[in-house]
Amino acid sequence: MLEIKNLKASIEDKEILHGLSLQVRPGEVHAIMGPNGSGKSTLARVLAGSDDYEVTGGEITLDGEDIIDLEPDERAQRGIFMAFQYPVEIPGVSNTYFLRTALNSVRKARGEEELSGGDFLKLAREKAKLVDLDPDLMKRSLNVGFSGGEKKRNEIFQMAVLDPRIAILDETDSGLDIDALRVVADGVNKLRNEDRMIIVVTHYQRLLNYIIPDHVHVLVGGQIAKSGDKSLAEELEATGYTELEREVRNAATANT
Amino acid sequence: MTNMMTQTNTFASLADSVREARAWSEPAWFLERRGRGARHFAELGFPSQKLEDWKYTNIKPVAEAEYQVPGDEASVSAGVLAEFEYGDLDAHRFVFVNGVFQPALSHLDKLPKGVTASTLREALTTDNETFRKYFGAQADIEKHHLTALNAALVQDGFFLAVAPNTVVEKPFHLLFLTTSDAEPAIANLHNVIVLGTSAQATILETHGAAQTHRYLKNIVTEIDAAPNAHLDRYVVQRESVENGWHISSEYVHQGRDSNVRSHSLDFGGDIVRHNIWAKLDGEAAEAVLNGLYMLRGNQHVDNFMWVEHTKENIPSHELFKGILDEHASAAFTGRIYVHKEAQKTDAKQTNQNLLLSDTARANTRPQLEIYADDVKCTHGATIGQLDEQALFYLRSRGVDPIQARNLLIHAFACDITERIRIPQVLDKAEELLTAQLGESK
Ligand SMILES: Nc1ncnc2c1ncn2[C@@H]1O[C@H](COP(=O)(O)OP(=O)(O)O)[C@@H](O)[C@H]1O
Ligand SMILES: [Mg+2]
Repeated sequence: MLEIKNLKASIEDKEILHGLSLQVRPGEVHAIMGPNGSGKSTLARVLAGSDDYEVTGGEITLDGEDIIDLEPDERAQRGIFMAFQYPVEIPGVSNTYFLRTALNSVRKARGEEELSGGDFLKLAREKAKLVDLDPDLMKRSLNVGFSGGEKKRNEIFQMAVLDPRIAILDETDSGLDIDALRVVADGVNKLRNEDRMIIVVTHYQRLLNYIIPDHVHVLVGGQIAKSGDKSLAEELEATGYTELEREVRNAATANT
Repeated sequence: MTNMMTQTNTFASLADSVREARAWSEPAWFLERRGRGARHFAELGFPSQKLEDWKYTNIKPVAEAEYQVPGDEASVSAGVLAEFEYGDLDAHRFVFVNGVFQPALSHLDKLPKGVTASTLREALTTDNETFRKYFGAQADIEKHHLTALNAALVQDGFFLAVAPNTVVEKPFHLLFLTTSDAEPAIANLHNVIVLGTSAQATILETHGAAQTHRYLKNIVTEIDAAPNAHLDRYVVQRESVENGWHISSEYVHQGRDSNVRSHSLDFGGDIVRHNIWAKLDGEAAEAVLNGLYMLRGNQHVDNFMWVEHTKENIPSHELFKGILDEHASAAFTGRIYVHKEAQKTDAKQTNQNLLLSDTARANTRPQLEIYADDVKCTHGATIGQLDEQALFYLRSRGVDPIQARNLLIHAFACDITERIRIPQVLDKAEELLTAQLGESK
């Protein structure tokens, strides 16, 4: 289980998350929605261990273990995976070589044997099918010259290979046309199982027609303003975020 | 120490004694050139940092050392030699220890007709006509300090002449090693490479020390590539990181449609300076100068090059990439000189440095001097750190920080390494890069 309690996080001395709490149980899919700038990516990146952010308060535990002081690679080795909103292009690092290195360090941490080049390729080819990823992309430099859609597929492909305990997908839907969206969502759905936790971060309700969440939370101004089931997403689709934003602002002024 | 020439103090006396020792075996013209070299060096001395071209390299320790020329008897073991080999690479091999040729460690397979490959000494003894014509033809002993010193003290070197339309497939591997109890030791070598029209050859040079000792290796190379000749050159510099001083001075003359590709790979050396003077002297003569350096500790490498375009349609490309850790420093000066006649010049010069520590330093000066009006010349230089976002991306997938860093560094270097056409040399370069990176953060 992932437990976030009263999490406060800042970037460059500016507090972005103002005490956020969230519980995700094994097998659950949670959607985090919210307007631009509300702190969705901040939450995703803090969970992945980016040192751009400073955690100034609260707790994050994964299956009871406090992870706040863990490095990003140590978190990945414990099964935390974050699909980037903007996957980084890394010229000169081959997709395949990188992913094999990553998988083998994760496997090593789990006490599993490292995969040989051949076995890895077999696994990679099988997982690439899941998101219909062009096998040629695996040979290329990481994300270099990939279209927006290819980058997002590559993220989910990596997730499939790394087989994480918890996946945080940061706006995996943005920039995808409806066909690509369907493919990516299908891929994610195939990766749902009773142990895995998934947090889907999105600005739009659209993706949630394909990945049906168990819980929906709305993040406004660095706090969860509202939680509910999948009907909340539909509600928001109709009303937009403005009403909620006003409520949060009013509450903030009332408190001061 | 027997058999050891221990003339120190002044270079003049060092030069005198070399001349005396060689007087019986060397032709008059060669001895005369020694004398001129000694005289010019007596005037020039070592370059000081006040000179614009030497601004970024302090060779004071090199200048102030009292050198000894080691005797001729030193050699290295097969085990040491193996360290400087390249897997199963099949090559003609010339080994020099302390500047002295080692026939027992060298081997020359059958060469195609019209190819002469020998030591400088043999070329002198046999009075090779091509050698006489090209030796010293470009090397400037009047202006270039270290070239003058080299002329006075030269011990031996490699000589290659390839007849027109002749291809030597197998690379020549030249190993220049040092080992000596005499410190600081000095070795002076002079190579001459002459490719006839449409001739082709590949030369691989490896530099290193078989033992820990202070030394200066001063090496001059003259290359003449006739029209349409192709030369591929790799210089793997693995001198002693703490005690090796290495200064190379290369002179290149290229005819029409010729192609000379040089790759310098610097992993070693305490103070290192590479000078290249290339004259692209025929239409569409192409020069490619690539360099990679990975330095740490207090290592310093200075790449200095002067590329002259004299005719039309000449492409030249220089790409030098450096990775600097700890207190290492590097300098790059690339001057492209485009004559009035050299229209349609396509010159590109790039120097990129990756600093892995706050105390590493890089000075970079790409320079263009253009007298033609229809040219495409670009130059660029960057000094940067590892991309934090890329590091985070890799680490967020489970890659540990050292591996992540190494992946990014190899990726940075791959623009250079992927241009290495000998797979065994490429493997070695990757291996040396990894070793030189070490485990430090
Ligand atoms: N590098 C940064 N420096 C300063 N502020 C930042 C930085 N990155 C994000 N922010 C701020 O943090 C807030 C939350 O951003 P983010 O988490 O990206 O929101 P979302 O993903 O919900 O659009 C925004 O107000 C944004 O301006
Ligand atoms: Mg975002």
